Formats: sequence, C-alpha cells, structure tokens
Amino acid sequence: MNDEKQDNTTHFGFRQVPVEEKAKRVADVFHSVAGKYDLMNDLMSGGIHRLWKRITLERSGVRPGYQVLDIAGGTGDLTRKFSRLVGPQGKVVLADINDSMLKVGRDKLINTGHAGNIEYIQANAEALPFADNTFDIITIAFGLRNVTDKDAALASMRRVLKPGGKLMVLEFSKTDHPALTKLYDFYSFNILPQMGKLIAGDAESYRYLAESIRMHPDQETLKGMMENAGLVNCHYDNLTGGIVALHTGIKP
Amino acid sequence: MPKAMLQAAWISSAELSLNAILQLDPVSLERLKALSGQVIRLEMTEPSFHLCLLPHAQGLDLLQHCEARPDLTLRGSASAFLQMAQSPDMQSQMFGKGISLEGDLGLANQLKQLISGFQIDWEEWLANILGDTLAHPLAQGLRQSAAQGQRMASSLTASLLEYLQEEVRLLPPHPEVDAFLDEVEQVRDDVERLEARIQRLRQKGLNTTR
Repeated sequence: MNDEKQDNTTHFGFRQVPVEEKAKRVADVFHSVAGKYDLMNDLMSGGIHRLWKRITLERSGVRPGYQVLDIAGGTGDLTRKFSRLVGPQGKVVLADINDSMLKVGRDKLINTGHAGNIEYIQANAEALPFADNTFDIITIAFGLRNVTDKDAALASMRRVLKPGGKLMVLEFSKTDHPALTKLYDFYSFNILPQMGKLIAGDAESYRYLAESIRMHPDQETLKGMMENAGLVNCHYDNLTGGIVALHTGIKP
Repeated sequence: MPKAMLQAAWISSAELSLNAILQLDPVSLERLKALSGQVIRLEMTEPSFHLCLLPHAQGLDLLQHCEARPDLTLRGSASAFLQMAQSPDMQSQMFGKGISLEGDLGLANQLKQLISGFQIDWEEWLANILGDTLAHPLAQGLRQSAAQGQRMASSLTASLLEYLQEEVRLLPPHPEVDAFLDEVEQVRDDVERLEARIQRLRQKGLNTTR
C-alpha cells in the first residue's frame, strides 16, 4: 500500500501533487492553524477528540519508568498525561514534523509546569532519529494521514519500538453506517471549512483536513499495512461509529 | 464501544469539573502537589466500579485503567464513599466504618487531611456532571439505601438470632438463659447454706464431745 502513483504524485486532499510537494503543503496547513489548533479541534469534534485521546491513553498500559514516543503530538494533549504517568524515571518524547505545532505544544506544556521528563524533537515519522529498540509505547494521534509515505513511517516506528512494545494509531477512518456517513460528509465539506474560516481565518486548510480524512486507508487496509510493517497482534476498535479508529500492534 | 465512550465522557467531565474547582483552592493544590506520583485506587462495591486518582500540581488525573501499582486502595460501597465525603468527621468514616484501607496508611492520613480541607459540596459537584434532576435523587437514593442497609442488617441479625434460638436451638433464648442463671444462683446459695449448716453441726459435735 503505497500512496505514490506511477507518475510520482501523491494525494493532497482530493488533489494530486508531486510527492516532494506534499510535505511542504501539509506543513503550510499546520503552520497556518497551529495557534488555534486546540480550539478548532474542540469545536470541530464537540470536544470528543479528548475522549478519543483518553481511551488511547487508558489502553496504552503505560507504567512508571516507560519510554514513550508521541509522534505528531502537536499541542501535547497525550504527552501531558503520559509525562505524569511515566514519572521522573520515565521519558516522553514529543515529536512533530512541524515546528510551529511543536513550539505551541512546548510552550503549553512548560507553562503548565510539565518539564523534566519531556523532550521535544522535530522529526519526520518516515525516518525517526532514534536508535533501534528505544520505546515501550509509540502513539500517533491524527498524524498518520498527513505522512506522505505511510509504509515507511510504520516501518520506522516498528524499528524504534522495543520488542514487546506497542504502537497505537488513532486516526479518522470510515463509518459503516450509511446515514452517519451522509451526515458526516455534509458536516465535513460544508460546515467544517466555514468554521475554519470563521475561527482560524483559513477555510482551505480545514477543507484539506476533511479531504485527507477521506483519502486515508480504511480500518482493514491500515491493519494490513501494520502487519506488513512487521507488527503482530494487530487489531482495531471503532470509536464513534468508525469516524475514528484506534489501531494497535505489537513489535515481536 | 459506546460504553467505552460513555465512560470516557463521564470520567472526563468529572475530572474537568473537579480540577476546575481545585483551581480555586491553592492550599489543596499544594497538598496535591506533595502527593504527586502516588496512585490511589477507589474500589466501589454496589455499584461495582473502580477508579484511580493520580494527584499532581494542577489537580487530579482520574483513570479507569492504571497499570501502576496503587500505593493506597480504598474499598467500600458507593454510599459509604458519599458518606465519607459528606461527613464532618472524616476520620470515623474512613477508618472502620464502611471503607477499608489497604497500602500506605501514611498516605491515607495525608489524603484524609486533604479531603477534610476541601470545601466541596459533593452533591453539587455530582449535579454539575449529571444534572440536578439526576444528581439529587441519586444522592438521596444513596443515603436512603445506606439507611435501609443498616435497617436490613439489624433485622437480619434479629432473624438470625431467632433461627439459632428457636429453630435449631443452637443458642438458648433469653428467658431460658435467665432462668438457668437464676437456678445457678439458687444452687450456689443452697451450697453456701449447706456449707454453713455443716460448719454449724461440726461446731456442735465438737462441743458435745468435750
């Protein structure tokens, strides 16, 4: 499952763009929305994104002393809780490819007194700058769909996981209920960009978010991709009727 | 999955509202900060439910699943917990009555100090999460069920006693015990009288032989 087409283009929302351009375009989107990302997420999901993240955290099985990597950690929602749960002996690395998002996250965490066991690293998920077998848990929440080469990213995550370590992918997915799908489509393509325009002053970026969700592989496909990357015990749980799915896999 | 979302929603709103209240209470926040890193587990029976509390400088994290070993576990019925929270005399509620403790008792003491310092109306807090229409009857119901539980416990004790006394006759009923005790008293008195009489007769015999 590679996103790249024969003519060396990839999707950016519903459009095709050259592969080398996608990362830059995604970066532009997130530079544009970074400052209001939290507010928008709350408004867009009615606060439900916090529940999805809470479920991810509770199922992570994190313990004091664990090494945790939070990829595309953005504004630090998961990192904040992880840092308290791993304690002073553990470590949480907040990684994001986008320096605007990373700065917003870092400022937010430092301003609320979270320091000491958190590191901030600007990194591309396709080529993670860590030694093999480093982390007990890796989470990527609402980040994988923005990665150009998802297979490379999954392989890179598997490499830096310790044997027995757990990868958790929280991402928008496909609803299986026709009525819910219709409602969700209307919301995504009509209401969401308008909200983006009103609050973040940027309808285009939010149109991209909605489109990128539709282009993201469905539950079974992503599960297959995780297995291809060499993870075992891969499974997923649909949340909110499949609008979001939580995939987990273990490094053997 | 809807159950997981519902639970997450409930715990999330409980955590948010609790921490919002705690923001107004710097003394409690200082105490919570001193407890950070500790894990306190609440286990409720009737209804069966558990929750981990993780104190930190900005309040409390509430988690349903926590892999860390709890430093302190509190066990009891929901009504016992509500009573503990509402009782002006926290100590009597926490030690002995209704709630059992396991783990670090020093931490239990600190927790007790912390909670008795809270100025939180728990019924009001429940109302914020569940809505007035649900919270008041719930609190009322919990209180009633606690009272009913006590009534049931005493009536159970009474009927158990009756069963043991009248049906299987393992234990003697009260009047029988009283009568028996009276008889014992009687026998003791008789023995004493007999002893006195023997003494007197012996004295008499001694006098006549002289």
